[in-house]
Amino acid sequence: MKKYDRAVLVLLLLVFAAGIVFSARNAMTPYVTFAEARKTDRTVQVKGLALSDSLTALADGYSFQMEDDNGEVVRVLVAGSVPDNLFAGESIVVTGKFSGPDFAAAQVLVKCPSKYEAEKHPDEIRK
Amino acid sequence: MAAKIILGIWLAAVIIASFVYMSSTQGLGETGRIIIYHVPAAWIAVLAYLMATVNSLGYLRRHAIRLDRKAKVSAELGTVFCLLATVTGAIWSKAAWGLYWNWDPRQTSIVVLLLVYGAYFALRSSIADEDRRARLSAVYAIFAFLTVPFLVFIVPRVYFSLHPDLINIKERSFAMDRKMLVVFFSSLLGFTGLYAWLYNIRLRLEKLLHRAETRGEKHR
Repeated sequence: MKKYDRAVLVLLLLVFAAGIVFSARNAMTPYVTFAEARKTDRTVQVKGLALSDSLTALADGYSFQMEDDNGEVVRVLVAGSVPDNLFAGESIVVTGKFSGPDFAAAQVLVKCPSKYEAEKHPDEIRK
Repeated sequence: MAAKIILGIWLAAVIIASFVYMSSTQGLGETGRIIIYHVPAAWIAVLAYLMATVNSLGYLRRHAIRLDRKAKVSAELGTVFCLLATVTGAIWSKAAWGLYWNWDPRQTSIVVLLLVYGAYFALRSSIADEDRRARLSAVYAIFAFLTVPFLVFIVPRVYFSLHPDLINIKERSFAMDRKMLVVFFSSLLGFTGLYAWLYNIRLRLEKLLHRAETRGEKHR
């Protein structure tokens, strides 16, 4: 292989490796904790679990309690509706920012179920 | 010809089964059906990129230009299916999570993958000399593929993702019920057939173009 060719390839691969190293750690963890979310004014995504039976209807939406990975529990305010499977036990992600002590969420995302099962007929659930 | 008709019927049956035979999924409702198209598209992308790598290795060993063509066609189809996986993923994301894109690790890694292979085509188009182009892009394709297992299989398992793990290693089970499993694997098979069909057409076209080009050079 010619010298020039080799130089081009080495350069490409270096850019490549540098890109992966620099980007991987931050880019692959878009989900933060409430403590980290409090430090910034930007919109962030907080990961955690919704505490069951904490759903409360508000004048313009809902609120519920959410526990993040550090065990911190914060009230989350959602304008509009919340997903049906919010309390299904899967991890959730809320997108938004803090407003005072509460977290104002623009989006609530629920992790996809780890098992795909047929939806139960209402009669079967009752049994 | 017969294979083409069987493929058409097979894929039509998969599409119908994904709506009629399979039931809607718990938690995802009717949107869960898109898995029958989303995952096979991603699977074919990996398969095609693997084929590109195998042919690139072959080229470096034997220096036959037809192997370079095969590698190029595979990388092209891999990118088409990779884009399909990205688009179906964004649509599903909108339906299931409420937004098209939120930089979930899987979304980030597929963008990186598209960029890695985008660079492959940029590299190809920047070199005029056929042998030099084939040699350089073959080496690049081999290194590019090294990122595939990392981006497709490792990243989403190391970092938290909203995507589920379809294969449960601990329980040695697959996260689907029986009916869904049947349709899912039929779809995987159908997509593989579709890839093979597209691959053959594309390769034939490349061969004809190559022949026309070399003939044109002789006349000049």
